[in-house]
Parts: sequence; structure tokens; C-alpha cells
Amino acid sequence: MKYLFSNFLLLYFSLIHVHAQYQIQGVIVDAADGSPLPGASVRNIDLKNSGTTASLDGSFTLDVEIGSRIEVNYVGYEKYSLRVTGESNFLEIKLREDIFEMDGVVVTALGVSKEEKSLGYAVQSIDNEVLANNTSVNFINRLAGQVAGLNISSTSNGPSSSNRILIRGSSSLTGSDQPLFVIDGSIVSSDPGENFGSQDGGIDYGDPLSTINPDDIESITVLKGPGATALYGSLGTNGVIVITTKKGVLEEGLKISLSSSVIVDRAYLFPEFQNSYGRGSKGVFTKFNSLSYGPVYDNSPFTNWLGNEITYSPVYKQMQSFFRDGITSSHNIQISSGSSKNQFRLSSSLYDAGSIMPNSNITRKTLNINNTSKINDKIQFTSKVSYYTQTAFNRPNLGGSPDNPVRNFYIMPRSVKLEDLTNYIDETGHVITWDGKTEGSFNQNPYWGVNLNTNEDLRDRIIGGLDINYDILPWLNTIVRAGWDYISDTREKRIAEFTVYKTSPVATFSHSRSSRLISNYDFILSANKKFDDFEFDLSGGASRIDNSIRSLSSTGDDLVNPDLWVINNFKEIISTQGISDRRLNSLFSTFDASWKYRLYLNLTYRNDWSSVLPKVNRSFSYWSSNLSWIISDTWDNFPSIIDFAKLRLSVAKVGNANSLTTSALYFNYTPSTGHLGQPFTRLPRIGPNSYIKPESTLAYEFGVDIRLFKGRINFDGSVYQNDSYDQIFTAPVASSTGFQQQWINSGSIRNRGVELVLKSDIIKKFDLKWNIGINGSFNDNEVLELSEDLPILILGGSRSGISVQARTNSRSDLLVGSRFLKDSDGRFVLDEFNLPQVERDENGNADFILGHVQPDYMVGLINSLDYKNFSLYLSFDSQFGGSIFSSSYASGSSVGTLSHTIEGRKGWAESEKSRKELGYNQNTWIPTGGIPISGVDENGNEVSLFIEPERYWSRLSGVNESNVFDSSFIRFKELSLTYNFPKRFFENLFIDNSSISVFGSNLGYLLRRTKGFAPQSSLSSGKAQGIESFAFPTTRSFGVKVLIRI
Amino acid sequence: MKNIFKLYFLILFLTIPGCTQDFDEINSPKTGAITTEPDGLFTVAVQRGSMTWYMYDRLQRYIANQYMQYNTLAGSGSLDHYEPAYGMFSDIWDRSYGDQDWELAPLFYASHSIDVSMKRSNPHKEGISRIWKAFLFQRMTDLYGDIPYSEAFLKPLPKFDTQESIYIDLISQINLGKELLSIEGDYETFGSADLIYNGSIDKWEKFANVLLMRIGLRIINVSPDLSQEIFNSIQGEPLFESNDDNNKMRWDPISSNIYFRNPILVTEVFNNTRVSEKMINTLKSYSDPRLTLYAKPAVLDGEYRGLKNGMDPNNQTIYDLQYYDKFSRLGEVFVREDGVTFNLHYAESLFLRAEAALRGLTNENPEELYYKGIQAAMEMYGVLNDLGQIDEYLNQSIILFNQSNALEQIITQKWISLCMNGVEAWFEKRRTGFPVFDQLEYSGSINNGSFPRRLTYSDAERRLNPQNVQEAIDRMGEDEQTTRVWWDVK
Repeated sequence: MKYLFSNFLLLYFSLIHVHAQYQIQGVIVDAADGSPLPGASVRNIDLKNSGTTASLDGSFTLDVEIGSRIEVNYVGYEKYSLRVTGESNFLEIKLREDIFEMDGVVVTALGVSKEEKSLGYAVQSIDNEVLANNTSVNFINRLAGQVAGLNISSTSNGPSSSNRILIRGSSSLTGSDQPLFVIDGSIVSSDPGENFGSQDGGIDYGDPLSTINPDDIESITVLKGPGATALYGSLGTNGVIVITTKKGVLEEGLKISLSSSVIVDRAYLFPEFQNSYGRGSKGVFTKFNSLSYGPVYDNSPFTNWLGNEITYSPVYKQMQSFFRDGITSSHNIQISSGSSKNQFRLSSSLYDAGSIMPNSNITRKTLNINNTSKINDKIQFTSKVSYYTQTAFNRPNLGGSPDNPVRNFYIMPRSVKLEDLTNYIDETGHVITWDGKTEGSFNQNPYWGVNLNTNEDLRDRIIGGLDINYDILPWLNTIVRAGWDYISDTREKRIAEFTVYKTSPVATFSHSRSSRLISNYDFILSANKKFDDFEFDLSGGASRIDNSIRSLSSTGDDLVNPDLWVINNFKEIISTQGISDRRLNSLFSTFDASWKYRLYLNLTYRNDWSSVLPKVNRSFSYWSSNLSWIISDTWDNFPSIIDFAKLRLSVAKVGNANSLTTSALYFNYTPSTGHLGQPFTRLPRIGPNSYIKPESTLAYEFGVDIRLFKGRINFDGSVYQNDSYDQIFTAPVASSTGFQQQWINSGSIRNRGVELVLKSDIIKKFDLKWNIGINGSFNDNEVLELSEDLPILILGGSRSGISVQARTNSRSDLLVGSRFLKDSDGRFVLDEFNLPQVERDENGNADFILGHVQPDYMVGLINSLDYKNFSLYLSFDSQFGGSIFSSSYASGSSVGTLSHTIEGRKGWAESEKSRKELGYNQNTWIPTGGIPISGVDENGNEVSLFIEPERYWSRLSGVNESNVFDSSFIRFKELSLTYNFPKRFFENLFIDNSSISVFGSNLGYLLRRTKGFAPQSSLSSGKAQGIESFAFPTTRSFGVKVLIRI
Repeated sequence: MKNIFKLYFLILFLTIPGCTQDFDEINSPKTGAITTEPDGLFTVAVQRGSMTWYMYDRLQRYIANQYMQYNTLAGSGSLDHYEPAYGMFSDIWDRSYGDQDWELAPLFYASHSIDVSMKRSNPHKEGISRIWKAFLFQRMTDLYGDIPYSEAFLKPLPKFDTQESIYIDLISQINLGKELLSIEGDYETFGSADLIYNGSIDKWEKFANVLLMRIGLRIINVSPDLSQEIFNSIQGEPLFESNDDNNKMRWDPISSNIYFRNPILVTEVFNNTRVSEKMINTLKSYSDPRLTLYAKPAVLDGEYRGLKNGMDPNNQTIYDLQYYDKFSRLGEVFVREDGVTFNLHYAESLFLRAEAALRGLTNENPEELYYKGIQAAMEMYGVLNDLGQIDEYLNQSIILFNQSNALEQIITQKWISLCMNGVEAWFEKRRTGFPVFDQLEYSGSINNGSFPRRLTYSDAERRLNPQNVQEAIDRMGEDEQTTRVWWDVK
């Protein structure tokens, strides 16, 4: 055996040496700072089987002949090639960083690096150059517009809000759409949890990803389709986002870099309020009226709701004055050092963000230590630990919560002054607010909301990991990897005594703790062999992922000692404990074959055993086959303007059982607090199903990659079709079954789409470099089937009657609600009061499709311009074809606070005046002013007349159709200008180099169809997208960042 | 070096899958149980079956208490004009059959309480559960007509049973329940899990008999023979003997969870209803000592004044909040922190017996039972006869038993005694036409002011169980409020 093996080795080396003339040595460094680039690939193009990678100090040795061409590739850097002249045996190759890195190595599933050209599926990477233009404290925000087909929406309450990320459309009806996040090979938690906004309010605690320090990220790769993610089996359905963190680099001595930035968030997109009419109804002021249909402002003396004598004149910008500038400061230090044996990196950051809402802020500290040791030539040991601690005080209450200040400003009569509300509490401890009520009202004083009904949360997170990379033989490598992600959350929420909307006047306090641990262990063995024109890779491995959640939450009612907000100071305490465990065992293998570096085949197979599935359906397999064909290298006479052309083809099957819980399988009796000390036993609300199996997705993908004019123009296109079937969801059932819903496995969804990426170096000479990148995507979603008896599935909704539905032969993101009754000519059919009315179908329902939520098209544009020491970066993102329903707009219309409601008010007032003067009653008078309306009456006779605005808007605001907006937009997303100080500036100082950037993000909309709110606003990061409800005003951010390296 | 290999093999070992035998343990529910005792289920069934605040608010306060002119909502809502409120009718249906958050469905729990009692071979718990389930299902069918009964909770698309067949089964279920209770044996009782009778077999037996009387009279117009049969079957059986036998729910005076608190108090805090004019005027005209117990003096002038039901919504004064200071709010007996609400009380049992006697179904003396009923209804709210107050009331000519309009007298007194339990009063008005109300000032735009005979089916049930709903409609008539249920023929 040994004999055979050494013979084999001999053969192997002799293959390499066949054409060798001599060896050349060299070093590959970064052209900008001279730092070595370990791992850069070097090959002799004329010698097909030659090639090596630079070692940790950037050095390499390569067999060459005089005249042969050497090509150097490194991820994130421009390709470099030169001809060997024979003048020197040592080459110093300086690579320039390339923002639009095209050819190189990308990190694929399970952390395996592969040459991009070998891939039969689409991936897109964002490297640290782009990430370094750091204009946001949440790196997820940076991804928008960067990657074709990636759709990001957030709950829009500032930098800490949760994001919903959707890759290639929604594939699961009710399960999570969130892609899997993998950091340095280990799966981490990205689940935003149950705590997002709802119609009744709620608090967005931010997704766990927002705690990650963007400065620690080296690169991000988005694996979009199942072809790329099949190796993750049942975890890979929604795509995978692979994050590689920065490692220590080989540098002499300690390398320290410091950066600080200050960002100012300023709200700029406010509701369009009217400033002509004050409180009242039908043009008449009454003290505690809740409408803004009062008299026109006339500067007359006037007694307001507090009994103060003032003049009756417009009150401007209450909402604008309530919010403040949110100031975020962050400081970051990175220390790294490295020898050929050991590389070390430590980073720490401190971050403090004040919300635009008064009395609300978040602080975060992070520490990240990363070490790579080369134990010997064969074994490399990497370990890392990251610690994050975050404290948030008073995150905003969202949606329809009376404590959401935005809700108040939409409904508060326009003549109420903000300063009249600053004194929010009376001597008896009750609220002073504009509707005069102290109990049983949903009209909260916003200052009570932010000062007394507060919340606080603490999140600690530790991510640790280690891997051992062992090159058993030159062609045989193994990796073992262990990773842990532990998150602990403590949350407190206070609702003060006498809070106006509470059904009982006592204080309520909730305190909850939860911890989540994800541990994963991987083992991979891979072999690589070359035979003449063929190269083979075969890998196999096993993995185990454990996920466990423990929680305890207590709610206390009725304080004993005032102002002592600890749970034991409450008279009545109810506690709930939560326990959840799941395990996923897997075996997987991949096979890669390449022929002459022009044809690549990749096959993967994985089998999962999931503990959340019933015994009979526990084992499931997933596979993919991917083909990449470099056609430009296949024929010699390929047109010369085409440097490179590639075709990709991929077929894959992946799965998903993420939405399952134990309650899906078992009929569970749950104990709960009962009546007069007598415990209750509760029955399940959702009918269990003990035969449930995972959802599956069968995906096809075809792509081309073409590079023209010496790489000046690069084009990449993909088309895909993903069929997801056996959907796991809880289908509503008639309540006479005892359940509201029943777990079922049914239905299929098809997502089809196109993704295009175009990159171009428009100018590339001397000191001037201008790159443009455009990415665009189109996705079409279709529900092929739900289940036999279920044509409609309601996925979310709001109290205003709008819902998000999936319908067979339609889409899975339909906005459904009421619309106007019109005749065949499109004219309103008016009711007995001459108002437009709601259309009803034969069953009396008003459920009509008003649009769909997800956009059809998304386009991103990135520009970067480098001139000497300046670099300018700007980006735009856009989407087209989606719709959004606004509850805020509906509320503001019905109470008359919004500017569009003033149309016709003057005319109506004059008409009424004349009517009274002439002594007509309402039935006989024909109004001479108001809102002109025309349509037909129920008999089809044409009607054209004036309507009282208050009645008109009261009717229209209740018809969902009038509150649905096109969510298309074009946004000027980012602008940054960086100046790198020339080295001579610091010649006599200890500073190596330094830069300063000024940047702005979310700068404005070039196109926007929504009124007074951002088109990407969403109520939650869950399924009920497309419904806006009192969203916080959109902010524009400006910042300065200083970076110093010593 | 050696250690790195140790570490290597340790991690390698952790990745080895293969074994899935611990998966059942990992996936077993940790915060719920797979088996249980019936007690906790029965507790839910009686507590929710007695109508907690949400159900009380919709079914009683908005709907039945307005129909029966116990209370009037400020602002003259459409329900007060006998117009349908489909959302509310759906809510009541859906929350009776299936759980929604804190809304625990009493029908579902009563059913499970029977099943689990049977599994535990406890005939007493089973019997009590059967009787209680019959009580709940009678209310449900009286509200809607034909409803899912025999297949409810058993099939994915339960069929609707006719009201007649449901009534026949209710009678046999109660009789089966009584039989089970009579099984001798040392069986564990519900004890304090029975929030109504503390596990007393005797009291549940009495309740079963009174419930049979309620059922027997409900069907008197449509099936007098069956009615007679029922009364024959309970002859000599134990009945309620005093207000101690009342089937009632005691509410938690201190809990901050409003589902445990007196539902009348919880909803009275909203301060948007006043006592009806009809109720106040009736009490006044009879010089009823309950006037000051049922109502509070008006804030404005200390007068006892009721708010008229069914006012014209075009009348602008009704939108002025100060207007309502002129009218009485609910009296002390209803809004106590430690209050009770009645499911079936002693007075009602006496009025049932009086009516049965009047109709010749029994040989009892209707006049005597009528007076006893009034006395029990007064005593229930603490009116004493120590100074002859009750006698004085009874001796008024208008109150004195009068054979020619005795049914109206009995039902009117029952109406007064059922105050704030509009549902039962509504069923009795549909059956007997009493008490007689004045024509509403405004007759609404939908049903032309005709008095509601039922609630319409749930939207969700119509959508998700369409064929069975359609079958019921084909049998019963349009799914409208004006459609009469089987027993409603007069």
C-alpha cells in the first residue's frame, strides 16, 4: 500500500515536471499598501496543469518557461498577467483591488472555496471594499441594490429594525423565507423571532444579525438558487448568505487600525398634513371632537381644549417637532499581527445610537478575536470567539399601538399644539390628552407613551468556532469544524398605572428571558486528483446541528410599591415557560469533475434526518447537479472581443421543515392559569398532523457569463424556475371542527425569474477609474395549487379588512380587500346618499384582488469613481410592480388630518351658508360646492353633484382600494466620498495611513408613489408584508468616518 | 500536537449521525401533556360557558340585551334596530366552537371533558360533562337553528344537524347524564374544578331536571307531545329548592385578567350603555323594589331614567356624550367586583313550573309557583320580605295572578328576573311573544324592523364548510335573521 502510494506520488510530481524549464519565485502584494495576499492563485497559462497559490507571506514558486504567460488571480483584486522574460527569477506582483471582482474564488456551500468559473449556478459576492464604505450599522442594509434578486424590506423604525430578506421570491406559504446565514462555515441564528409589529402594535427587537459588527466582515457571498445550496439540504431552500469574517494577516509587528464615525439620522418623509382646518366636524368646533373637519383658521380669539384663550390659527409641524435627530456614534479598533505560524486579529467596537424618537437609544459593544495557527505543514487550526452585548432602551411601539406616537399624529386634530401635550399627567396620575378622556380611550398622549410606557432589552451573544484543517496528503484533505451561537435575551416592558387604553387601570410589567443555542459540528473529507485533462474532487462528510431554545416570561399586574419595576413587586404574576429542541443529522457528498478547465460538473447529495418530523418521514434526501461550460476556451477561433464566455446549467432539489413545531405532530394539553385558583387545561388551536413531511423545492437554472473587451464589460444572466411543493402550512378549517386551523402538507408555488448583472469599467486609465454596476431581476410568483378544498389562504391582514392572501392560479402575496362598485363604463355606482359604494360578490363578500406585494422588477445601480486619493461611491436601488396598503392613510383621510382632504371644503361651507340663508332643507337643496362626484345611481341614471368632503372621505377611507399605493420607487441610496491621505502627510508620525469619508444614505426618492410614508415600509418582518400601519418617518442619514492605521 | 488530534476526533465524533433513536425524546412536547385529567377541561367548559367578558359583550350586551331592552347602547347602533352584524355573529359562532387566543370554546372543552372522563372511567364526571354540554348546545342551536352537532369536533367538514334531531339527542344526553350520576361508586368528584356546584352530584341532578323543563317548554309549540313526555319523566324528580341551587358563575374580584372578572362589570366600564327605558319604566310602574338595585340614579339629576331603545340615528342629540348623563347606569347588583352571573336560576325554574302547570303539563298550582318565582327572583338580589316589601309588590292588581293573561305575567316576570341575561329572555320572547315592546322609533334599513329570530352563520364556516352550510340553508330557509328556527312557529 505504501509502495503503491509513493509510486502514485511520484507519478503526480512527474506530471508537473514534464514541461518544466525552471522555477520562478515571487511575492504577491496589495498594490495599495504592500500587504501580502496569501491564497492568491498563480498559474502558467501555457502550461495547463501548473498552478499554485501564494502562501501566507504572499510568496509562491511556479514552474515556467521563458515566454510563458503567468496569470494571477485573487478574490477582490484585478486579474494580473505578465509574460516571463527571464530577466529575473523573482517577481513582485502588485495587485490592485478590484471592486467588481470577476474572476476568482468564491466561498460556496460548507465554506468550500471554488473558482467562480467552475460554478454551474449563480452566486454574487460583495467584498470588503464595498462593505468598507460603511454607511449603515446593520450590514443587511448594505446588501439592498447590490445583489440581483435580493429583496430586503424592514420594519422601518430606525437602524435596529428587523429585515426581511427574500431571494428569488417567496417559496414557502407560511414558513420562514429568511435565507440561512453562515458565518465562517457555522450556521448562526437569523430568525427575527416572534416579536415584530402587528396590527395591535408590538415591538421590533431587531433580528439577531443586526448585532454583528460590519467592520468584522471580510466578504459576503449570496448563494441564490437551490443548485448552490443543496448541500445545506433542508436548510437551504431560501438561499444562503455566507459571511467570511476578517482574519489576521501576515504582517510584521502589530497592525492597528482605528475608525470612528458619527451618523445623524433625520426624519424627512412625513405625512402630508393639512393646515387649513382645525378640530371639529361639519365646520363646527367642539372641544373634544376627534376630527379635523372643523372651521377654517381665521385668527379669531378662541378657547382651546385646555381652556386657554388663544387665536385660532394653524399649527404646523407637530410631528416634525416631536421627533429629533438620531445620532449614532461608533468606534472601532482592530489589532492584527501575524507570523508564518500564527495570525491573530482582535477587534472591538462601541456603538451608541439615539433613535429619532425621544427617550430611546441603543448601545452595543462587540469583541471579536480570531486566531489561525499553522501547527505544522499539514495542520492549520483556526479559532474565533465573538462577543456582542447590546442594551436598548425604549424601542418604539409599532403599528396600531396607542403608544406608537406616529399613530397619534395621524389622528390628532390638526389644531392641537404639541406643547399642549408636554404636560401629560395630572395630579391624580391620569393622562391629560386631547380627547379629554382619562380612561377607555385609544387616543394616547404621545409623551405618556414614550416616557411612562417604556421597554428595555438586553441581548448577549457569543459566537464561537474552531476548525482544524488537515492536509493528510497533498490530494487528501479533511476539515472538522465546530461552531456555537448562543443568544440570550432579557426583555422588559412597562405599562404604567392609569394608562388610558388599558381595560384595568393597574400597571402591567412583563419580564422575559430566553436563550437560544445553535451548535453545529461538521466533518468533511475531500480528495482531489488530476489525470491529464481531467481533475476530480470528491468530498464527503457528516454534520449535526442542534438548536435549543429555553424561555421564561412573566407578566405581573398591579404594582405594590410604586415605581419599583421588578416582577416580585406585582400582585399577580403569570409565568410561562418555553422549551424547544431540534436536531438535524446529515450525511453529504459532492463530486466535482473538470475537463481541460472548460467543462465542469458538480454533483451533490445530502441526506437529512430531522427530529421535528414524524418517525415515518424523518429521513429526506436532497441533490443537485450543476454544469459549467467555458465555451470561449472550447473553440480556438472564438471571437477575440469575447474574452470569456460561460454557460451554466443546474438542476436541484432542496427542502424545508423549518416551520414545524412539536405541536404540529401531537395533540397537546397545555396547563394554564385558571379561574379562582382552579387550573385550566387548554386544547390545541391547530389540529395536529402526525404524517407531516418537509416542503420540497425542485429548481432549474440556466445562466451565461460573458466578458468583453478585456474584461471591461462583464455580463452575467440567469433564468430560473423553482417549484416548491408539499407546502407545510396551517390551513384554516371551519370552527365546528374545534380548531381554527389544521397542519397540512399541500400546495405548490412556482417562482420564475431572470437575473442580470452588468459591470463595466467605463474609464480605467492612470489615476482615474470609473466602474458602473447594474443588476436587475424579475420574479414571477404563481400558486399552482393550495389544497383540494382551499382556493384561498389568508397569510396576514389588518383590521381594516385588507388581507394578504395566496390564491390558487394566482400569487402568494395578493393584497385583497374592498373596492368600489363601478358600472361597465367604469363609472361609480352611487348609493342613496350619492356616495361611491363597496362592490360585493354573490356571497356578499368584498374580497377583491387589489394588487400584489412583492415587486416584479428590481434594479440596482452602483457607481464608483476613483481619482487619485479620492474615491466616490454612489448607489441607487429601485423596485417596480408591487403594491402597499396604508392604514395610516386611511385613518388620516377619515379624520381629515391629511392635506388631500381639504379639497371642496371651502365650496361646501359656502354652499351650506347659502342654503341656510335661503332657508332650504338638506333634501331639497342642490349643493353649489364640495367634492364634485359623478357616476350613476342604482338605476343607471347619470348623477353629477357636489358631496360634503367629510362624508366623502369617511366613505372613501373605508374602501381598501383607495388606500392601496404602487410601491415602486427609485431611491438614491448611498453616496460616499473618501479621501485617502497620502503617506507623506504622516511621514514623521506613527500613522501609516489614514482616510476620511463623508457619506449619506437613504438620501431620497427619485420616484415614489406612496403618500407620506416609505414604499418599503412593512408592519412586520413576517409574512404580512405590504401593509403599512403608522410607520415611523423614513430617515436620511449623514455621517463622517475617520480611519487611521498605525 | 497530540491534543489537536484529540480535539479533531472529539469534533468528528460529534458529527457522526446515524443514531436517531433519541429524536422522539428531543421532539416530545415539553410544555404540554399528551394525556390529561378531565378536570381542567371541565373548568374551562363551565367558566367560558358562563360567558366571559368578550362573549358577554357581543352576545349579551350588544345583541340580546338590546333586543330584550335591558340596556341601550349610546349612539343608537344598528343592532338596536334589529340590523345584522355579521362580524359579531361570526365571532360568537367561531369562539363557541373553536379556540382563539384567550377565547376558549366551551363546546369543544365540554366535548373533550366527556371523552377524557370516559377514558378515565369516571361516570360521574362524564355525566356532569354530558349535562353541561347539553346546556351549551341548546343555547347554540337556539341562537342559530341547525348547527353542527353529531359530527362537530369529529369530522373535517362536520354536517349540520336539524334542530329537531339535536333537541331529541339533548334530551337523551341529559337522561344519560342522570343515569351516569346515579351509578353508585366511590368515584373522584370534580371538587373545586366544578366552579358551579363544587362537584355535587345532587345539584347537577337537580340542574339536569330543570334543564329538561327548559327544553320541554321551548318545544311546546312544535312538539307538545314530546313536551308532555319530558314533564312526565321528571315527575317527582328533584328540582331546584332555593337560590342555593342556582347554576351560576362566581367571578374573581381581584384578578387583572379580564377573562376572570365579572363580565358585566368589565363591559360597564366602557360607559357606553344605559339601562333601557322599557326596563326602568316597567320597574317604576310596578313600584318594584328592584328599581334601585338594577339601576343607578342619573348623574345629571339623580332620577331613575332609562334610555330608549331603537332611536333614530339621524337624531343628532344622541351623538352628544353629555346627553347620556340624564340616564341611569347599571345598578349595584350587576357590577359587583365579586359578582355572579346566572346560567339558570331558581326563579326561572319556578316560572317554568308555573307555565307547565298553566298549560296542564303538570298538576301543580301555577298561581302559587308564579308568586314563589317572583319572591325567589327578588331574594336572589337581596330584596327581603322582612317588612312585607315583597307581599306589597305581589298584592298590586297588575301583579296579581290573572288567569286570562297569566302566560304574559309569568314570562314578563321571568324577563325581569333574567335581567342582563338577554339570551334566554330573547329565546322566550321568540317562543311566547312576551314581553311586548313598542314599535322602534327607527326601523333600520335591512330587516324593516322585524324582530330577529336567529343569528346568521359564521362567515368562516360558510367559506370553509360551504356544502354543509348550504344543506342547512336549503332545509331551514335563507341564512337571515328573519328565518325562524324549528321550534319558533308562533
